[in-house]
Amino acid sequence: MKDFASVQVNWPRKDYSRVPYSIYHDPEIYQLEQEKIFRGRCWNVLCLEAEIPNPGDFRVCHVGDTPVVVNRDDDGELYAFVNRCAHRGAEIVREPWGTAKEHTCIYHAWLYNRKGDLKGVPFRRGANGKGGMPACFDMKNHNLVKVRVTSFNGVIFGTFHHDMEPIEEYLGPLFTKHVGEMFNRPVKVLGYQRQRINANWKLYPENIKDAYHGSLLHEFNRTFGLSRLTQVAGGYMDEKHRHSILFQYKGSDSDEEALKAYIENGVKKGEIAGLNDYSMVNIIDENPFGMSTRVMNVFPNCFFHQIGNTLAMRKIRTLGVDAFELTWVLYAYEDDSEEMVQHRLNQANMVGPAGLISMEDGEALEMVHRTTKSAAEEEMAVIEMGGIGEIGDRDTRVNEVTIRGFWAYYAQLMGFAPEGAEQ
Amino acid sequence: MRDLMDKPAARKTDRSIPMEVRQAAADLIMDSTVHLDRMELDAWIECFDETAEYHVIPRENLEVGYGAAVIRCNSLDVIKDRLMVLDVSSKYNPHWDRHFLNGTQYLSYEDGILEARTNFMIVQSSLEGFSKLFVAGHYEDKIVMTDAGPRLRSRVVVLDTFSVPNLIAVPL
Repeated sequence: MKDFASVQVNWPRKDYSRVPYSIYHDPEIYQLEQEKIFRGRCWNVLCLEAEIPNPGDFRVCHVGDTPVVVNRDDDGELYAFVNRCAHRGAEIVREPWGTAKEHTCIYHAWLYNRKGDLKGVPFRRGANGKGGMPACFDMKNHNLVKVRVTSFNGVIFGTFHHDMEPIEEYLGPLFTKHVGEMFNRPVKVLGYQRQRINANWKLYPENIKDAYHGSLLHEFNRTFGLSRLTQVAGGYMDEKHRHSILFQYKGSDSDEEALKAYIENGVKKGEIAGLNDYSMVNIIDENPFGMSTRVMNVFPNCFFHQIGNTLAMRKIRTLGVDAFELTWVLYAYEDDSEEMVQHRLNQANMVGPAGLISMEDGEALEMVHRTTKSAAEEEMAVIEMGGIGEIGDRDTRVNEVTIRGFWAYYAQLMGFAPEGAEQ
Repeated sequence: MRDLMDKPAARKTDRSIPMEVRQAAADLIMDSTVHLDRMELDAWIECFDETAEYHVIPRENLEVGYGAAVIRCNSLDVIKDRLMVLDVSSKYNPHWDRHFLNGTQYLSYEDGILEARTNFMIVQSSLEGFSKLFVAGHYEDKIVMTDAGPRLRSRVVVLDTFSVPNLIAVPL
């Protein structure tokens, strides 16, 4: 294994209120993240059970850079393996999704079952009494690398650590509650939205944990009161500060007081006169906690949103130090009326790569990535909104403490948290 | 949604469609994309009929039979709303688009409505003068012949490049 002892990060403050820009660009850090974060002691989201509903269904997912095939077997059980042949390392499954009895590598036709166990090696005993594998070759020793999977209310998570704590423990009570509520009954997939963003992957969880930008970058949010800094809102975390939820209550401020506050703070007045069709911003009340929006990050690669009535699990796949793919898996409930499904599909105009309140995020991330590349070693991001020092929950969106929570847990997993750092 | 796909049978040009109808449709399709390249969005919207729809759908969703789009405008009002938001509120990469269309395939012409299909590529150029292929796909158009000329009754943009490079702000 590569020696990463040399990978060091200069954290000048123990509360992570300064983040060195080099952390987004260092290839050695990126390699270490694959080992310590994605293949490390984490549960990574893979897909939804609703995406592979029937026996034999499979879908190729990614844990960081690593391609993982998630399978449903005849007994309904879920299995996952790394999509890399145990013989010469070729990609075995070459379609993104499908249904298969077994999986055969095209290179030399080695055959695997849905659990990833090696079941066939052509000409293992040779031909005409010549060639073949040595007598000591035992197929049992050449299964694919297995990924342990678990389903939480139909959301499939995977880990390379077979002794990971149960998913409920990993999520903690707050996220067991909110993710559990978003998946409290059978769901059906409405489809995918995908985008490739030329930025380091860590900028995305940071963005999701950044309550401050929501109405400044996304003017649509501000104008239609979907998210404003003047609203009753909050940014909460689990006790390890690795997962986050940002939420707010539409209608908890008035348009007049919001407008006044934004003008007083020097933010240009939104000039959107009004919509011809307001159905996109109408929210049908269904959140039992009354939140109009909640956006979660389950560390490291998993995100959930309920924005009005659009529901999605989002996941990221790393594509090198300079890029990642973001996939939005939009869903509805199986017991939704057809009218509600149509409403959710219409509200999906707000999200995804062309989303009226999300297209700006890709641009913001690419800008940060592009310009921080040339930054000097001592140049750093300043993360002080919501206060410095101890990391904790805040009942406001004028807040970035949740971002510091991300860095605190990340630095611990990576093994380069400064001594005496906030956790 | 599955009926938007080529499968199971490849559709062929209907040779009985009058040449003047085909030419009128070809002009409309070309004009609509040039308006986008020039950011003449008021002129682009004039290419649509008042009962028009406009959708951008990832090809993978069509392949599985999922209904989700990346842009879903069920009415002219919703198309106009998107353009208004784009104009006054959206923030995106400053760029120039250039559409490249190949020949249009004319599939049917019934009750004054022409069904046509056109492949496209869009090359996007930064304001620093660097160009790259942005997206590829095809238009599924329904074009109505009105007294004022041909208008788009519906345009479905099937997006082969469904892992979108960064973002889509300007309609495709």
